[in-house]
Amino acid sequence: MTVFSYSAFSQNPNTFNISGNFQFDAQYYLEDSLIGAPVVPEKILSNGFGNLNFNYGNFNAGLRYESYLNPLLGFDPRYKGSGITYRFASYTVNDLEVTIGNFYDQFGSGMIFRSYEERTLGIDNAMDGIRLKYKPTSGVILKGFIGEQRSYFEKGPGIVRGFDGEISLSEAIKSLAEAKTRVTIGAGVISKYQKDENPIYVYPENVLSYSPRISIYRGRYNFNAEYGYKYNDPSLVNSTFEYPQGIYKPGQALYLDGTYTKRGVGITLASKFIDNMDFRSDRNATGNNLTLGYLPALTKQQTYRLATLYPYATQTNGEVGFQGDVFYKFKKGSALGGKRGTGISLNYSNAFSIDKTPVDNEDGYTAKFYGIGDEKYFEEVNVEVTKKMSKKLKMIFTYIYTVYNKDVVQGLSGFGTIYSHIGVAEGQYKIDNNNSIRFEFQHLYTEQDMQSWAMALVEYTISPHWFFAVFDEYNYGNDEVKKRIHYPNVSTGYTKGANRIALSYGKQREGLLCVGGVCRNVPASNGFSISVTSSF
Amino acid sequence: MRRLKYLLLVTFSITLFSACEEVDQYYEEDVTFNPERKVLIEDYTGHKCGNCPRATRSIYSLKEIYGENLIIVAVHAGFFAKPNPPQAPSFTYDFRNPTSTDLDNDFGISLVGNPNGMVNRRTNSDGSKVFAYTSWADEASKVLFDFSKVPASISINNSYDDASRVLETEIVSDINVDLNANYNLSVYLIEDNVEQWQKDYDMSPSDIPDYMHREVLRASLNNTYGDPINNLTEGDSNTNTYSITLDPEFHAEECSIVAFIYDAATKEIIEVEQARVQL
Repeated sequence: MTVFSYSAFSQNPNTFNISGNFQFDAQYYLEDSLIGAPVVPEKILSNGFGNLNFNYGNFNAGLRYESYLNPLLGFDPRYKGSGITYRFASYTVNDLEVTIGNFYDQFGSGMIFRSYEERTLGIDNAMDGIRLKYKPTSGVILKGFIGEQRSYFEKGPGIVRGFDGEISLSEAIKSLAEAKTRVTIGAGVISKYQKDENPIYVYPENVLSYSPRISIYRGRYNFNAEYGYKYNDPSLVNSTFEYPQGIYKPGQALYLDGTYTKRGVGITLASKFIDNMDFRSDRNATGNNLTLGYLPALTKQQTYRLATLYPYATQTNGEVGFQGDVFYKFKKGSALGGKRGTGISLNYSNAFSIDKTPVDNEDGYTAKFYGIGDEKYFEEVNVEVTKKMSKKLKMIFTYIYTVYNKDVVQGLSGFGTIYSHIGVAEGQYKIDNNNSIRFEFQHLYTEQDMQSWAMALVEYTISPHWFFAVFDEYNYGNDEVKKRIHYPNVSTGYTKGANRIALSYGKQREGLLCVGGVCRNVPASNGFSISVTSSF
Repeated sequence: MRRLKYLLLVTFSITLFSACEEVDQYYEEDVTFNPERKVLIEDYTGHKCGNCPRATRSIYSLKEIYGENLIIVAVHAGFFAKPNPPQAPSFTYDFRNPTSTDLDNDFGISLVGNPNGMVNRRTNSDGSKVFAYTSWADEASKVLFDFSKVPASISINNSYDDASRVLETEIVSDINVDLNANYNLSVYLIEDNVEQWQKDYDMSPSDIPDYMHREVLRASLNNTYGDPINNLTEGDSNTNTYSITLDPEFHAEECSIVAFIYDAATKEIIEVEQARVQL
């Protein structure tokens, strides 16, 4: 997806440029009662989209067409149908950028406002309205917008208004231009309006939230802090047993992080505190629909398949946690570095409930600021060692220990906490200039849930066009013998220039997607898939 | 011009700060509704859906205010309604039936997730007919606070024979205004207070063995989508009669008939009525 940034293109203003990209994913589903794959009456489901962008000097326009006929399993089924879901025009004149139509944007790290898309996850909360961006002087950016939010092929019931200002002090203030310390401060305000049509409860129709932030850079050090506050916003997501229509308590959040980087070393420390900060433009929305605020999980983003079995999701109703990352490269020739150097990456993260005290009114509870509650939601240790064994072979060894409160993270009950150990060995072997092979061996050990899994993958690449891959996940340790199933998969793909096509056949294990008190079962599937991407 | 832009942006941000309100009174005072109008809420649920009892509790507290004008039907279908194998210690009961499964598949409710429901099968602002439980009261009030003339009125006359377990029901649909589209009549059998297992994440432990399942959709008397109503002019009266033999495990004293008239094209319900099988 081509994102339009503020900076004007430095090209001959008389040239007219058109660009775009396209992606199409389809799957043919076979019935498979052994893994619990459901019958898909349409047999074939597909998601597709295409973007077109036009540029002429300081003028930009574009549109996107999406088609879900019908959406792939695992996607919100309300995405059914086809249509133009994104269209905009923008121009920049005398430091003012005007956008009409759809736009994506965020204030700071997005705590009270982040409009973005992650199409493969089914996330798209694009705005539709008017946005202005103004740079009155060097180092100052002012943004204002008013709009409605996308909801599948329609628009949500809320109207969102926002304003954000950011000043880079060293750019804006002449006397600080040469200072070693560079400071950027910013603040954003969002107000959302949604009509109260409830005959019993009085909902606030206008809800305000604000978020100040600061970033400090000095040499090798970087420090960021962002605070968010939200006024009363009773909703489905913050509903409780006593107050099933939502609680009237205000919300707040604070994210802090610091980084130190030097050649061969990197250290990052981050901390988060969230108290009732789920923020949407529709008080009845859940899941990925109509979100306004974005609260990052502050846990390591896993890519190895078995490490995605127990993914953490931010508990927007309340959590407090910490993450630390250390990266170190042992030099070539040193004791631990070996002949070609060794890299080691350590990561630790955790999340806990917040310290809540119930109150006997519609506020629901009070919480101590940065108070840590009794319940552990998540804890993880990641150790990764990367080593070039020889001129042709590079190995990555990973160990992950995870403590996962499945009940809280997935909104369930009766599953308890899962303790798992994962070991992965990945190797990349360069056979010659055109051929390379990559392999992975993964093992997950746990005594809870589905017990242990093993996984193996081999991928062969023939530069520059072809790849072939085969992998299998095997739930060999499951207490229920019937569920000790293999999930094999074979795939191949061809890439030529900007075009890529991939075909695969295999079985995929089932999952449960629970967000905001509503659970959706993502069924297991067995079938053929095709994926085509292109850009110009 | 530059100063003007500054001024505009500053004014915009100040007005934003005033665009906020803190509520100090949480409940509405006046809830007068049109007693001629009734609304049907279909609660799509399952005995393993631990988040669902909260939705059910919330809609029954609304029924305390609206009484007979709020008709609730629980449709058990989808993933969370699947029973355990017969030899399992709990959750072996199968609440599903061909009607509930058809409705769930056609309207795509459980595929979105549970709890979720429909309100007079009206369409939501997102283009689907799926409503989250916190918005059921909002949508129902649009029907109940409509003081215009009700387009049709339904009366249900039930006659039940204990010995044969045969229920004969006569549905009379009186048309109050000229109707210019195609309308169908659907007739369902509902059983209240079915005691079985239910997961409830608001309780600890969450597995409840003796949960009272309210108003369960048991069967349709005229196929999932009903029969067309033929006479649609103001003053017309249509009579449809159906019969059904109650399953031996159904408790007749808890059963009722729910009948509704809906637009065959949009699927939206224009009037609904409920009457007990045994008086």
